[in-house]
Amino acid sequence: MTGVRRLESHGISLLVPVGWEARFTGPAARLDDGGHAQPYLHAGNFALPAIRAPFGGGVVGELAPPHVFVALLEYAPEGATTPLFGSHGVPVRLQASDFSASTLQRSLRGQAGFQRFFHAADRAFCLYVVLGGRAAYQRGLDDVNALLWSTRVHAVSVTS
Amino acid sequence: MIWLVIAEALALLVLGVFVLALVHSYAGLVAKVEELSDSPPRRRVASQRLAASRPPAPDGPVVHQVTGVTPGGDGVVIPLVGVERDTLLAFLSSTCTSCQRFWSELEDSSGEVLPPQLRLVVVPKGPDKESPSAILEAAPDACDVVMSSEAWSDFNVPGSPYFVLVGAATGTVLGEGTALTWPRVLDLAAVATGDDALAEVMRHDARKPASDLRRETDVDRLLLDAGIRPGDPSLYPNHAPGIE
Repeated sequence: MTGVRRLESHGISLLVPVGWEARFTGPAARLDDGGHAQPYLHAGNFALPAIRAPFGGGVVGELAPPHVFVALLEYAPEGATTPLFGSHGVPVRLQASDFSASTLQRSLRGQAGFQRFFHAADRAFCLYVVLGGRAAYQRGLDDVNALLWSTRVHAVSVTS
Repeated sequence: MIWLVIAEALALLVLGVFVLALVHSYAGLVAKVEELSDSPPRRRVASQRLAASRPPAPDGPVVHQVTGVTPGGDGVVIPLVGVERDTLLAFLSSTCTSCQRFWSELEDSSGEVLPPQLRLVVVPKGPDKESPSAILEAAPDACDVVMSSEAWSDFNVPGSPYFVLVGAATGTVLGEGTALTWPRVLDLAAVATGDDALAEVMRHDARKPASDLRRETDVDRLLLDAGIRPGDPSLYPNHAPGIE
């Protein structure tokens, strides 16, 4: 398909499904949960609003049932060896049963969320996915899994 | 005297015949062009206007995404297919003279130069061929900007400024070409899509430049700081008490 190229930024590369928008954002001040902020990725099968909080504030409240929102947030590298980030590798093959309304940062009708902390290439990450409604479970989940399957994380060198 | 009248009448008759002949000739040319075309006449003329230096390639590959970086260096992908709105790609540069008017109108309008039924994405070349700092300075924050040399190649862009209108459902190029102002770009987009409502929106949209809005805000603040609120008599000197 013409124009479909790997999106690469901040040592992370991935293929973005057709019809999806994806944006990396450079290091922010702080994450919503108080963690030390590093670059993060947002992706969705809709036009991402210009102003977005790292965990989807400003986005998830506007999701329609077919919409899917993905946030991949990096934490300080020293977290990679802690138990919180003990799971290894980018999560793939998500299923409907992995999603729950109780996982949402903010409970919104019809929505369900998935969250997992993991480490890859000595880097610490959190993956947060929100399904806008029942319509997102089929096609949206397939696209999410394609995106995650294509994601590659590279070690970044530490500059002194 | 009567000969003068007759002479004037004859002259008018000859002139009338001449005008009729010209109109008939033009109508014949238009009919011939339409006969040669498969598309509706209006769209054919539109594509001819829009294709500045080369005809559109109706059978060309569909470009699904624009992949590049923001002027700040962050990776971004903008989808072109299977989206809610047609996308207008504006291929601009920081150095071409003709592009300066587009950049300044973007700044004046805070990036809102198109009606909401179109999505504008400004596509300068990538950081390998264009200055990110110059683009950062030229582009308003509210504008979608993707620096991508690959997009220039995907769409065979001959130079800047250049505009490509991409259909939302299938990613088909609906029209492409060059223009000198944003309203003219919108006129061309309206003709390419057959959507007269697009052109009407811009013609009737009395949007003020951002600089005017800022001046008005500053003046309002100064008046309020001085205790002058809306309706204050001092704002209407001809109707102030004691003045006839």
